[in-house]
Amino acid sequence: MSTISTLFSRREFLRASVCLGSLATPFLIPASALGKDGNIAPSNRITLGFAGVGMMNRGHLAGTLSFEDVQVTAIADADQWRRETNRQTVETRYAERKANGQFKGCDIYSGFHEMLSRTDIDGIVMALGEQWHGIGVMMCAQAGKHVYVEKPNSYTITEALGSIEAVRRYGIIAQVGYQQRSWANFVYACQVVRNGALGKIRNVYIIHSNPSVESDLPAEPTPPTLDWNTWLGAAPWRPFNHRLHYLGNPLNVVPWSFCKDLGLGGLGSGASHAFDVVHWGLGCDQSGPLEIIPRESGQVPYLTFKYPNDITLQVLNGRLDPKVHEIPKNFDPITSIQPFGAVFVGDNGWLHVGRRGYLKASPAELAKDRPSRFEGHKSHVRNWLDSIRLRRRPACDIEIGSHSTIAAILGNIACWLKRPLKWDPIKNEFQNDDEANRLRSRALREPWTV
Amino acid sequence: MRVLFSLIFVFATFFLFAQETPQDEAVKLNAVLQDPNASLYSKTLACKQAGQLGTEASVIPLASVLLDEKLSHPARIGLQQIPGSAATTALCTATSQAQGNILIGIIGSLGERRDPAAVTILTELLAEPDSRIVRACAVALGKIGNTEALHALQKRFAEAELVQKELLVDGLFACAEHLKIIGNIKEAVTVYAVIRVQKDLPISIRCGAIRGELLSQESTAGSLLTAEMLDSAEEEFLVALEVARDLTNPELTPVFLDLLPKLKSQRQILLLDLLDCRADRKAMNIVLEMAKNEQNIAVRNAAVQALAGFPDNEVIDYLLEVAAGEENVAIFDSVIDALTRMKMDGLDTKIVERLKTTKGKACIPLVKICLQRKIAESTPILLPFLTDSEYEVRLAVLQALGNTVSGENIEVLIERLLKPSSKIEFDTVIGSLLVVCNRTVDCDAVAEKLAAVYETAPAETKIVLLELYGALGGQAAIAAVEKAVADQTEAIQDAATRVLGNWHDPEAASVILGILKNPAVQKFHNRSLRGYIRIVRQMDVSNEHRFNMCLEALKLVQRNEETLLIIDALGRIPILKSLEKLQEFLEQPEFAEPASLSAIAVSRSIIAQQQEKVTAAMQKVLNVTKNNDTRRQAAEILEKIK
Repeated sequence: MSTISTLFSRREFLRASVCLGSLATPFLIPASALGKDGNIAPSNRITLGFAGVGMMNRGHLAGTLSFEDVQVTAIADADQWRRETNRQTVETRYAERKANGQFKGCDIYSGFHEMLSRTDIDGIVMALGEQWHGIGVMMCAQAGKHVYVEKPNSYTITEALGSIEAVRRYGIIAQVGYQQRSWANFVYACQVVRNGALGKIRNVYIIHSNPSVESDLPAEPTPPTLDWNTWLGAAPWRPFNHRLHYLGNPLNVVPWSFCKDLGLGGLGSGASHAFDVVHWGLGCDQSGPLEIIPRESGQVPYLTFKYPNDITLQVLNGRLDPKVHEIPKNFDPITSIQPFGAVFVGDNGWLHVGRRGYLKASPAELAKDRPSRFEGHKSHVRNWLDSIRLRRRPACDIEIGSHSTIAAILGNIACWLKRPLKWDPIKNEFQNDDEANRLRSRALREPWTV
Repeated sequence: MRVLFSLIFVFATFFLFAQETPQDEAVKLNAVLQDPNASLYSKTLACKQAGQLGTEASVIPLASVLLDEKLSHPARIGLQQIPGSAATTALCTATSQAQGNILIGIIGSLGERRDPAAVTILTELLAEPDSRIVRACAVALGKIGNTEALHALQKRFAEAELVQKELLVDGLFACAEHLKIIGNIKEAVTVYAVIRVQKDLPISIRCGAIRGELLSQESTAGSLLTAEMLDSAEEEFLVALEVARDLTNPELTPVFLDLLPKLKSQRQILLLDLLDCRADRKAMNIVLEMAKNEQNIAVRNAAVQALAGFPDNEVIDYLLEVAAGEENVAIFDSVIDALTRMKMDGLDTKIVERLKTTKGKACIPLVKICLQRKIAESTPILLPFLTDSEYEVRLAVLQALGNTVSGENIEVLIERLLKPSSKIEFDTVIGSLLVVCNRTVDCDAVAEKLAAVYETAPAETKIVLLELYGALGGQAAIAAVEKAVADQTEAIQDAATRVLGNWHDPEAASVILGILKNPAVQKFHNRSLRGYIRIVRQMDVSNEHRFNMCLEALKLVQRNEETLLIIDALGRIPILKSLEKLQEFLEQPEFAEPASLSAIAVSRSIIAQQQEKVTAAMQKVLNVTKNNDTRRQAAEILEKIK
């Protein structure tokens, strides 16, 4: 009979079986790619290069190595320890393929651009930091490489828009790493909101409100095992400091993001995920807010975004504050707003969605058909790979992801300027504010041009 | 100190800028840029600010450092944003002296400014032998995108060697996009066509040209699509397919249907997927015919899947008929997939009606569809199958019920849990029960139903029920698990404490505290303490309450490892009390280092309100820590307070 340990394996079994039917593409693809013995023919494998193997891409690499129809053939990282360690991971995983001649080895590079001239690489999985992402996507597009790019997928608004333009120009498949797009409870939650079950949406709450800040960290000796110039990319040159890059094994996900020359702060690393969920729920995947009002303006208690249809989004520090907010009926104010998720409040109720299957709503019936925690964690990278095979737009296509990232950039610009800004999401420009408009782009450090 | 001084100087300078004339700004900017003692950071910041303010008077000081290897980029950050002809002129002038990377950077900035005044100089530079410069110029001209820029690129493209043509195409594509925006489609198509016919160019470039040409003339795209899909390289076919997904014109459906039988099997599979997505009813009969009679099994499989795009009674009847008798596993799975994805009012009812008249193994596909579509109304029809003589039928139904049963009628699954006919059936019903419990809204009502069978259940089933309480949550569930902690059987105690340790809301805290204080279950002390601290660290509890929880936990620790957990948790509670408590640990050598890190974390959060207390705490940290990084962090906080 069952023990508790088998209970958990049951969950896995159930998850696999429940998900089966909603994944159309895996049935179709192996049918054309499988050999007679059920193995993937080497010529049918998608070949990938990994650009930047810090904490995020190390996870993607581990997941990707389990896909039979993929082969990782190159790794690029400015940090020697990281590229060599992860190459070893690839070589170990593919030992059998190597033995039977299907795998010739994983090459390593300092700069990801060195991989782009290889004709035997189909796609790039990129997690280099936002100072690289926008131009990186454009470079991939120009080289005809499909790309999975981590969030935030650009540092400036111009780079975000340029990414969309380049991806469309060359017809590559580009997925942005807002992975909630592939997770069942987020799919369900956003569908509920879009279907109007909450009535007219009035307020939305998310967290992670800090912008990046000017930072003059002291110079430290550049480690000989780090190609610092390549690491910086097109960002202004500055001397190495360990707070921007932990040499070797990464200690956290985006250590550089607080620094204005390199990142977009918590708004970019955390809230951008939430913006993506909000845009999805509000049905404005390809537009954005109309007004951004920073707390520093003295007009609002929290960084505030005004969306069409009189919807207000506030970026809180953690929870609703009964002194400031009208607490929605049945909403416990002690509740922490879910990181990377959102609370949608409408005339007929509210819905709160987050990771790990978190989904609460009032009236409670709104959540009754929600997916259980034991289903629905689909691989976002897998969705991208299937999209490459079928030449479909992926779950978080570059256009969708870029608009979520732009919301995070707008928040930064408003905080930097400390004044309310009006944004035209059609023209992609601020209204009557030349100074803000000049912050939409930044000159690239030579020799990078896209 | 010098760095700090120069930073203060720069900030003060900018504060003054806001109130000064543009000429004053320029003088101050020049002073910073020419100051041999100013840091690169200060100079870069000055350039950024000049670009942000955008006053033309800043052009001269910025231009003066444009050829400086270290300052060229900061200068361009400023110049690129300053409106007016002076900045363009400065950048153009610098091209005559600049070389290598600096020249490439200047060309890039000219492109970003999109000022037609730069076209002449960029056109001249197109003739440079350095391929990086040629490419940068082409990109820049493309961004400007006027007629002169286009002509310059076209002329160079016509006379260039193949390897140089490659460098020019991104600019040409950009120009063609400008032409489309202003409505000059004919000229845009010409640009794309010239590139498309260059068979020796890299395939990614030719794909761009194919794509551009197709999207420029949707109404007449049929013939080009046919050419690119029929007799083309794989990449060209794939790009045509990708473009076809953007072409919603229904007049193209006959083009695709005409192509379908002429393509190789792999291309047929992909085109069928396209027809599924387009969901144009004109394609239904042909796709249905292929699903019925296609000889190539992979293509037939794709046709079956593609039927999802055609919600029609004839299609549904066919799919249900195939499902009932299909032996090929791939086709069977595709039928289930197609019916799961199909969107049609009344389809659920139709499936349930069919299920009512189906017997034996033939019901399995219908049951699987009920599972995938989560058809609640199928539950009463599914239940009689639980006594079916076929083992596979019973198993499929048990699994489906997990998605169709609500908490209100969970008894049907509980019953099977108590009387399983096999181990796999037992395991399957557990999986389904977990899903139901996790989806349930009225947790207490379901907990009551579980409680009704708990006492008389065998020990192994009790353990399962405890897991189900965990998936359920709520007051009644936690009370039931709390009671189980006092059970005489160690395996049940073990399960109950583990479930509590993973509880997904903070209401478990008081129960876990009770266990920690209970001498009868000390075996599970460490696990319980971890569960308790997990609530402090992760859950929705006020900071005051979390701090008090830490104090309670400290009274109950049995080893240093547990104290370390609490010290870490205190670091996540940003209130003064936490900082004060952590200072006690700073005095204990075995805890000084971790307590230092936690004190730093708390200090960062309360620095604005508690400068004095934070100062004292950080000085204490500096006294006790032997870790350089910790010292540096504490010193940074003290510096910030100063």
